[in-house]
Amino acid sequence: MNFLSPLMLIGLAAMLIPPLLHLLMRRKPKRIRFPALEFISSSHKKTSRRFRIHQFALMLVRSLFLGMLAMAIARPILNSSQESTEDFGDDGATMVIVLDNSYSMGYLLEDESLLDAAKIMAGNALDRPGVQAALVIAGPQAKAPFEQVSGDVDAVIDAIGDIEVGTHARNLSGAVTMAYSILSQHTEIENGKVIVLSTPIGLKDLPQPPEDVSIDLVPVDVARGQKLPNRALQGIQMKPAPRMGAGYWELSIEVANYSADAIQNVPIQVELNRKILVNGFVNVDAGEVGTKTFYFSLSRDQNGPAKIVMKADALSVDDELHFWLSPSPPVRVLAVNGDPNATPYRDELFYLKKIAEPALTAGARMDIKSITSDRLTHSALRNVDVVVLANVGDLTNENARSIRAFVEGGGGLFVTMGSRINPKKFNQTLGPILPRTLRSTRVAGDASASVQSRDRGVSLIKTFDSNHPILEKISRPEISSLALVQTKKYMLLDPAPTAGGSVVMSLDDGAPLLLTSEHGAGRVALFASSLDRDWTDLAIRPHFLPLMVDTFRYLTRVRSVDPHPILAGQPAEIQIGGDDMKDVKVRGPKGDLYSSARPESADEAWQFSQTNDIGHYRIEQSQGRVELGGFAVRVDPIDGRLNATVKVDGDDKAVQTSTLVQERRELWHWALILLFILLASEAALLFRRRQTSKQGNRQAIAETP
Amino acid sequence: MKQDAIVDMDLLGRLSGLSMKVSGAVEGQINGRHRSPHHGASVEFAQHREYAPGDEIRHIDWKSYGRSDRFYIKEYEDETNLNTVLVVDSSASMNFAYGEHPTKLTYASRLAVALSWVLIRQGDAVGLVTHNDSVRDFIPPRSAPDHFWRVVSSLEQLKAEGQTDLTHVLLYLAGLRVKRCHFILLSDCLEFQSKFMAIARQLKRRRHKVTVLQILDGAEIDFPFDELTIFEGMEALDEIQVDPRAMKETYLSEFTEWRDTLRRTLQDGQVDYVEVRTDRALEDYVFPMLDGGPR
Repeated sequence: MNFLSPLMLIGLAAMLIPPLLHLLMRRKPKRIRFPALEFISSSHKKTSRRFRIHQFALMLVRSLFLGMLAMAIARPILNSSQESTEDFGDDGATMVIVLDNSYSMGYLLEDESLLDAAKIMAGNALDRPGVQAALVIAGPQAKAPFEQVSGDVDAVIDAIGDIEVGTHARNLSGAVTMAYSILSQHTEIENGKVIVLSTPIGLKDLPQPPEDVSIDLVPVDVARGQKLPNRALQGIQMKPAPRMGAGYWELSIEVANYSADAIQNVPIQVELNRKILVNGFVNVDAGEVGTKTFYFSLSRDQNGPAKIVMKADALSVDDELHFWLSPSPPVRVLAVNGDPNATPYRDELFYLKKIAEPALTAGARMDIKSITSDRLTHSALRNVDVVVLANVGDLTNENARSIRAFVEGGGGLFVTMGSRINPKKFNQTLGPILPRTLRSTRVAGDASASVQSRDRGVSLIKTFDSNHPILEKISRPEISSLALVQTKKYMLLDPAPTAGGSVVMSLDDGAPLLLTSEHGAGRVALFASSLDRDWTDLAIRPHFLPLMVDTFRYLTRVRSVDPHPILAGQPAEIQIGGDDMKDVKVRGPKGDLYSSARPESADEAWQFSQTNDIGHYRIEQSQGRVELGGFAVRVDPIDGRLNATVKVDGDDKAVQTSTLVQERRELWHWALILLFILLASEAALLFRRRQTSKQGNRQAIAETP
Repeated sequence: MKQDAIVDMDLLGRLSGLSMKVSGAVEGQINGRHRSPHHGASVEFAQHREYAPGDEIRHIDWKSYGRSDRFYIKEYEDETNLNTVLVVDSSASMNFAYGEHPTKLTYASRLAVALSWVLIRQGDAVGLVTHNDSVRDFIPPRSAPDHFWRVVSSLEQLKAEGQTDLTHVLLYLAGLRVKRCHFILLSDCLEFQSKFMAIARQLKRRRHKVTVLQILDGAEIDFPFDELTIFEGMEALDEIQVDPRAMKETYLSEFTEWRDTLRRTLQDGQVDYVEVRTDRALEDYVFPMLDGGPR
């Protein structure tokens, strides 16, 4: 028996009210000195037992009344499945049981896993005289403990009893095909049956029996037609969230709601090293996949095994998602100096280098490395997040290609102008990835006017795109020090954008000063003036530092955590730096220790394949227990959805669906009827007592002379 | 009137003009309105009797002395007064009162006072026996007007205590050397024993008259309790906790049956019986007795 509103069963506690009232409201008896005690004693002996029974009956009726009321409100239903072994076959039938033991079969339905229900169903099917049977386990790879059907049904039942819920995703097609081939070996058998026991969605699109043999496919819904609502963690994405502040990360968690009801305020939390990092609640509409986003800061040493934990439901294995948190290092900037100078403050990168000083950046986590343009090579771009080309006029084609590839691969490029830039040559090398191609340098203001009035010899920044991520954190830039920046010279850009760039800031004469664009997986920012004070005084303005930091953050490549999650049963790639490490130990989630050796061929990936357990795997040195890192294994979220209409198309003769019809009978009206009966009983008991009392009174009155 | 006062002057005033009649002959000391079985100073001669010391000299028949030289006393058919002994039960159970009503002992005392008043006013002699399981006080019957106040005084000093033993009291009455008289028992009779009737019949044979006025509280008859109650015995130390709702019907049935049995038993033994409820006015019982005697 189930309940449509099981929460209402809390009302069953009301059954305690009558006995509690009886105990709590029990008055202290009065004391009366009475002469005719002998008569009272005699009457009491005769009636006390009967009265107690009457009182107990009355209390019981009242308790039952309240209990039945709670039951009625909880709307009891009786699920009676017309389940019979006749559906599976007659006496002497030949069958192959295909049992799904994917992780979804661990779904708890009425405190019983679907796999246990499937085992009972299979046992019922086999428990008939003359049955010949075989078994195929639909594991990661289909497995048949018996090569052919046999009359030793007990062995098959024993084998079924040993099956446990796995961590793998459903894989019924191979198992059903294997079942067909087992039955096909026995040409003498007519009307053999392949009984597939799985969830409703697992029974969809099963391979049909071969046409040349007479085999019946009997898909059996182990849930007996009941709905299997489930919520599952689908995946995560983690990326820096510079808008929130230094060291902040954004973790987006996808939560699927495979049910007909919306999920409301389900607790969810992120744990790192078994400590709660952040927690909250998630709401997802019925049948939708929602995203829960957390923002939190991580220090450099906060890394290691992490997991998302959502409040467990009937299928708890997909309510946890393990991952290995390794936050990316600080933004690594490679600044290429196109105009070095022995006098520090005249150096092109003098001001940029200043912002790398920890005292200035205050946790902005910028590692700025500077080189001169002649030392720029392809290898220099390794392990770099952002490349700054500061007044670099002599960029070789080879370097330009490297930079373009770097940007397409997700790197960031920041280009600043200067006197060494030749627009035409620059356009030839990096033009395709610039937001706009360069045209010519321009001196601000009117040339004649600049002589007469110094004020007219500069341009001010007039337009700001406050919604751009670079300026998002700068409050009201139009009244900030940025609005005071005086630009004497700048690079004019072609009006037609070639890479769809967006203008972040532009000068009062309309010329763009800072632009961004995206190219491939990377981003490019173009500053139309110089990074030093040759063309503009931006570098000495207070907002130079936040502008540069936010620009570099913007240009930093997005880093997802576990972009390619390792699913249970799939090999995990071990990435250990240093070629001298030939083998490692891998400690599984249950503490099992495995050893893994680096493949001899350098081209071959170092893989670890014993990933059947869900959780964190720690990679340790083969000698000692120095931890080198780790990875996490999770279930394939694709199996989180369990409900589906069983549709078996095909030849009617060959396919026979299980007639496990779920009949749901609502019992609440019976509960109400019982309720009224109890009410009537109470009334009868009370009426009887009152009658007795009245009779006594009448007798007393009649006796009065 | 106070709750425990036993003399109601208003009632006594209303009773002043009334008299009480007793059916049959009664023995008395003075001439009165009842026909006496004794032969005394009257005009109608009855018989001669030999003189005995203590006889009044004036009753000697000198003519017979002259004829026979022996002293004979001349006896006449005489009218005499009524000898009544009020027997008041003062056991602990008589101390019961429920609600605003007086205790059974107070009510019995008031009844005794009223009867004494009427009887003494009409020249009858009234005596008093107070008892529980033994006789506590005995006032011999007298008809003097101030004797009334002696009866009242004895009743006023009465305290309800001890257990009842009506049989013992009846035995005491049987042993009294009193002339034929009317014993009026005022008791709740809760300790009524079958032996009582044997002694009552013995009294009857001696031509005494016995009347039982059973004094009961309304709560004993109606049992108006409906809450969990611990009932304590008044003459024994027992107590019992009961829910009155449970046993009211049985109690009423048993108590009524017992009263019926008691009434039948007494009436079969020619003992007059009146049930008296303390929640009713005293006049309800006194006036009918004055009209025609106890019924």
